[in-house]
Amino acid sequence: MTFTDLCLKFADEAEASSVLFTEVPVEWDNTDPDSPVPTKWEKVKNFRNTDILPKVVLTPATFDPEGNELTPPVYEDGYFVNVRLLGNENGSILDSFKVEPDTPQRVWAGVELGK
Amino acid sequence: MSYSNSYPTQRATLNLDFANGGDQLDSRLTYTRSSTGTYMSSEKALSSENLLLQSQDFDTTWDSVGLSSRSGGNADPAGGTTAHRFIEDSSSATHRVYQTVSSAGKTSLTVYAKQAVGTRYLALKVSTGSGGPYDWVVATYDLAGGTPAMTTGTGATSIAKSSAQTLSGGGFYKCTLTVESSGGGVNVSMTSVTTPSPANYGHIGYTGDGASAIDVAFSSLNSTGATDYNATTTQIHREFAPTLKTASADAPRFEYDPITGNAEGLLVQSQATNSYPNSSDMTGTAGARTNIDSNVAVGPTGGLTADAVRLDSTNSNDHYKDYSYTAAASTVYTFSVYVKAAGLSYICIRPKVNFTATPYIFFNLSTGAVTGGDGVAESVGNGWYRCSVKATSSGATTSTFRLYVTDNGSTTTVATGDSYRAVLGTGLQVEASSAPSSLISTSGASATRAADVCTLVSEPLLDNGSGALVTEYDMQSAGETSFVLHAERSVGATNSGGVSVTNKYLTVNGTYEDIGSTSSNVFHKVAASWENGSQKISRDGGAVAEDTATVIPSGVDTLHIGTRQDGGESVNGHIKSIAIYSEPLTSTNLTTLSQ
Repeated sequence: MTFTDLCLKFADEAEASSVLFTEVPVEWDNTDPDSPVPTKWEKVKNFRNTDILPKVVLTPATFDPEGNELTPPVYEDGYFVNVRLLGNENGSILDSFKVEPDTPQRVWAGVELGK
Repeated sequence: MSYSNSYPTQRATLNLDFANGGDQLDSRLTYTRSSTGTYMSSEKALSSENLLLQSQDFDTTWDSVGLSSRSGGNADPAGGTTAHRFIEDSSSATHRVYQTVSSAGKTSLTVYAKQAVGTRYLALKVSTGSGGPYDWVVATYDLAGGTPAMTTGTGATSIAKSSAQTLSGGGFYKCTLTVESSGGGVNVSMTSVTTPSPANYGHIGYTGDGASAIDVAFSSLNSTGATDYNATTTQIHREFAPTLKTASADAPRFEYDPITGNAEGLLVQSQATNSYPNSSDMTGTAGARTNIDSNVAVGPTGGLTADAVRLDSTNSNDHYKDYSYTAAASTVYTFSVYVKAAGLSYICIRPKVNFTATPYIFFNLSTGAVTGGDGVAESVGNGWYRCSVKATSSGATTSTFRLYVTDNGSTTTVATGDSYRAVLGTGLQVEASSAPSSLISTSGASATRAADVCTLVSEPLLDNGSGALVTEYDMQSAGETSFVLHAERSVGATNSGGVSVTNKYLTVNGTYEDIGSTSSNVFHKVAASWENGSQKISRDGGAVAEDTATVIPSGVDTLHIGTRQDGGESVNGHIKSIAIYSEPLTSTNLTTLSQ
């Protein structure tokens, strides 16, 4: 199977969720079998390989030899997600969120940086 | 009733055996995983080796020239008294010990040495090729400190070679010579000069003073290029261990128990991330009173990836490395690392920074015993353990796990920092999970392994209304919802629809039958049956549990193996076998089949 790796940047979690997930009912009240009423919803990925990153570090924290933090890390603004798009998935909705980091903080297993 | 009557008369319509050693999937199954993934294979690789005999007894087996004495009983790098003192005689000759060996490939000769009397150098020679007068590589080591000098015979100029010396315990230097060639013999020599005569088999001759001496200990010759030490007497040391292999994307992983060698079946895991960006580098983000010797030993992958985390010379203190990563808030993380004793037989792992609890958890690397907290040590062969600790993060910021190397199971304080004793380590992993999954190798960035997805689509096999199944499996976290299998329709599928077996429930079309909690990392066998008005299940030959509110599902055409119908709630474990029956089975059948 062929893959396309995308690094995505969203303004915040809400924006990412609206693009990457769909809420679907998973449990119903079947009191009226002809009109079941959803009672529980779950978020389902729109793309199978969706990987939400933690905060992206611009400048790492520094530590003394005892492991105490001397300076805190500096984080980049935004909400970052990696998607490995399968050949049968249409990722056009993701186009406006693509970024190309020089040094990705996270890759898919087996990907060697710089190659 | 006879024993044979306990079995069903009908045959299974689908029989999947993932643990028959064939390591092949039934052609009716579809399997994908969008990234590489690692697994413990049935293959074994050379894990540790020493091709020298009498590795620390230089007056036995070794031949000698030009030495008036080479007796033992002197202080060695590890604090013992096994070092031998080479005293040169006053002849005009070479002053050395030697033995003939047979090796091939990347051959490393390692010897610990120090000055005893005078300022003699150590010279190490490896014969190469056919061992002719010009087939050799020699390195000389200044035992007062410095960089080794290397000389190559004209017959060995085209081979790759390297040398190094590192200050170790008791004033000894760890001296290493590595060549990419077969070797026919090794020499451990005293020398007053650094360059051998090219036509003299690489030997360095000079007139001895009858008094100069060096102390020599712990010799090793290894065809993997490793420089860790494994003692020998009358037999060489050679140990093989199961290999942690990497499967390419979309390749199924059939795992084997690293100790028993038994097939464990198809490995099915959820998507997971190793948040530590350099999995085979034990250097860490901080640390104190430790030295790191990189790539000195063969790790579980069969490659030269294991580092030594070595004590420095500080007494009565702790010695550790820190491994930091960016955590999400209030999340359970598991830190895991492959470790092996190398003079030190204990480690302690402590969730140190940004965790709700910070216990000291000790691991005995000789026995696998864990004390002081909720840790797990899994033996993976030839002394290697995968040790893991879980902890809950506090905030969304930098978190740190600390790895202490120590010589006891009750305190991180080491009385004697001898600069020699160490623990070998590799395969660092931090993941947001309550148990470690297969190693996700990282190099420069954290990495994510994609989920395993295995399905079978067949309406004739699966859409029988009533039916039965038998399956054998294990799971890494039995306390979490984990789907062993889920047979459901492909259109309009729901998580509670169809027939599913989880860590705790048999579910048939929305009706749950609770069979109680199961155990983590233990293989279980379940047999279940369903028809209108009855669903029954037996686990491990136990009593049958039954619910009578069952309405059989229809339109079932897809079997999801090791996951829920939407790919969620993975079993995170192994599926050994699955059998599907087109008719319901009796309670007696279920009890028998689940044994």
